[in-house]
Amino acid sequence: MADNSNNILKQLQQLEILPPAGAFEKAWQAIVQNELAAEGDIADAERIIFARLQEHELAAPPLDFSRIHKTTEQKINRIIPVYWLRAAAVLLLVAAGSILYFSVFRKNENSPAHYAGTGMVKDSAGEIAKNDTADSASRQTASVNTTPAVVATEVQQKKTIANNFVNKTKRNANANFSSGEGQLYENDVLLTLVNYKSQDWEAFFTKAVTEKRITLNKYSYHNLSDKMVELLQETYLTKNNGKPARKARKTSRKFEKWRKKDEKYFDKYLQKNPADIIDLSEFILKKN
Amino acid sequence: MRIKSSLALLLFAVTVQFIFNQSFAQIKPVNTAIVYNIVVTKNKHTGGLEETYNGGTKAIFVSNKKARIRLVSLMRIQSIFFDYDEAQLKKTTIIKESGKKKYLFRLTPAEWKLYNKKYDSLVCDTSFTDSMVVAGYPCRKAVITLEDEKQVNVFYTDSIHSVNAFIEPLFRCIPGTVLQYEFSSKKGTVLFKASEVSNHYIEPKIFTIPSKNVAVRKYYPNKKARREAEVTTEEDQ
Repeated sequence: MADNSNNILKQLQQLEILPPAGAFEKAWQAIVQNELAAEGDIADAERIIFARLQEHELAAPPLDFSRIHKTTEQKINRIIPVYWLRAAAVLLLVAAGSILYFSVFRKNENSPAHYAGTGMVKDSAGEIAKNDTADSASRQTASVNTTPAVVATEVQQKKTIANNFVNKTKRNANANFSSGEGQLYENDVLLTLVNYKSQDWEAFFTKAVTEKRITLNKYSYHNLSDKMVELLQETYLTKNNGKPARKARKTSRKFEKWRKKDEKYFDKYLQKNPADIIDLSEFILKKN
Repeated sequence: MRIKSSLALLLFAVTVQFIFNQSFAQIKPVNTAIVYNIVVTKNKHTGGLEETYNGGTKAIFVSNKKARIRLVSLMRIQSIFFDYDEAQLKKTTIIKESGKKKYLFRLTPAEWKLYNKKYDSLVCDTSFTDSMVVAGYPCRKAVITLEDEKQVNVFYTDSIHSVNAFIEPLFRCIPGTVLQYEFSSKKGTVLFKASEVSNHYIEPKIFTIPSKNVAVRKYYPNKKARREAEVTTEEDQ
C-alpha cells in the first residue's frame, strides 16, 4: 500500500503540464502594466500637491508692535538686565570724567602759575614774562628755577616740552605758533611776518593772515587790518621763475622805509613815547 | 570788678582785631590789568604806516608797588616799568623789546617828569554829562586840554581803583580810571579803548625787566644836553 502511494507521489512529482502558449508573457505584461499604473498615480498626486502649495496663501496677522517690543525686551532682559546697563553707563561716565579731570584740569591746577595765585591774568602774565625777550627758551629756564619745589618735577617736564617745542618750531614750519612771542624772529612781529621764508615762520604767517590777528598772549595781540593783510601777502608775490615780483620788492622796501621812519622818530633821541597817545598820533597822523 | 575786666578784655580784643584788619587791608596788593585796543583812522588815504600800529594793544599792569605799560604793535614791542613806594615814583625803565637793536634806558623821577613835560599844564573838564559803557564799566566823559591847546577826549570810571598819576601823567587830573581816550586832528583819529579790565593776581615775573641782548642807553632830556654830554666825553678822551 505504501509502495503504491510512494509511486503515485513520485509520478505526481515528475508530472509536467505545459502552460498554454503565451500565458507567461501575458502574465508578465499584466504585472508590468499594474506597476506603471501605480507610479503614474503617485507622480500626478505630487504634481497636484505642488501646484496647490504654489497657489497657497497665508494671510499675515495684523502688526502688533507692543507684542514685538515685549518679545524683544524679554529677550534682552534675558541677556543683560537694563539696570546693569545703566549702572555700567554711569560708571563709564564717571571713569571718563575722572580721567579728564586728573589728566587735564589737575595738571593745570598744579602748574607754577596756579600756585602763584588764581585768576586769568596770571596765565597770560606768566606767558608775557616767559617770553619777554627774543630768546625765550633761556628765559623760560630762568623763570622755571624760581617755582616751588613741589612742582619741580612737573616744571622740569614743562621745561623739556618747551625746549622741544622751540627746537621743533625752528625745524618745522608747521609747528604751532599759538603762544609765545619768544618764538618770533628778533621778538619782532613785522620782521617775522616779512621774513618767514628765510626763517621758517610760514605757519606763523599763514595763521596771522588767515585769522587777521597775531596773538602773543591773552593781553598782547595785534589785529591785522585788511590793508595790512594785503600788504603782507604782496611781499611774497613771485614771478614765473620763482623770483620776487616787482610789487613784492616794492612792498618790502615800503616796510623797510616805515621801520626807518619809526626808529628815527622813537629811537634816535628817546624823547618820544610810542605808548603815549600824543606822541603816537603825531607820528602816525603828521609824519606819515 | 570782674565785669569791668571782662569788658576791657573784650574791647582790647576788638581793637586788636580792627588794627590787624586795617593793616592787612593796607598791605594787600591792588592788582589791575587793563588792555586797550588801538584804533587808528585816517581821513585821507596815505602810505599805510598807520596800519603798523592800528590794531595793536597797550596793556597796563599794576601790582604791589610795581607797574608796567606794554605796547604791542607790528612795528615794535615796548614797555615802561615803574618802581614806586607809597605813591612815590622811585625808578622808571623804558625798554624796546623788539627788533635787532633792543635797548633800555632808565629815568629818575625827575627825568620821567621831563620826559612828560608836555603834560605839566593840563586842564581837565569833567563837567560833561555824556556817558558810555566801556569794557562793561559805566564811564563818564571828560576833556583834557594840553598847553598847546590839543585836546584828548576821555571816558573814565570810578568803579576801578585808579592807577597812580605818574603812570599815566596825561590822566592825573581825571578822578577815576580812564578806559577810553582819543585824540583827533584834521588828519585822523587815534583811539585807545579798553577791551578788558581785570583785578586778578598778576604774576610777579611780569614786572621783571628783560635784559638779554638789550643795550643800555643814556637818556638826555633834550638835544642840547645830549650835545653837551657828547662834547664832555670827547674832551675826557
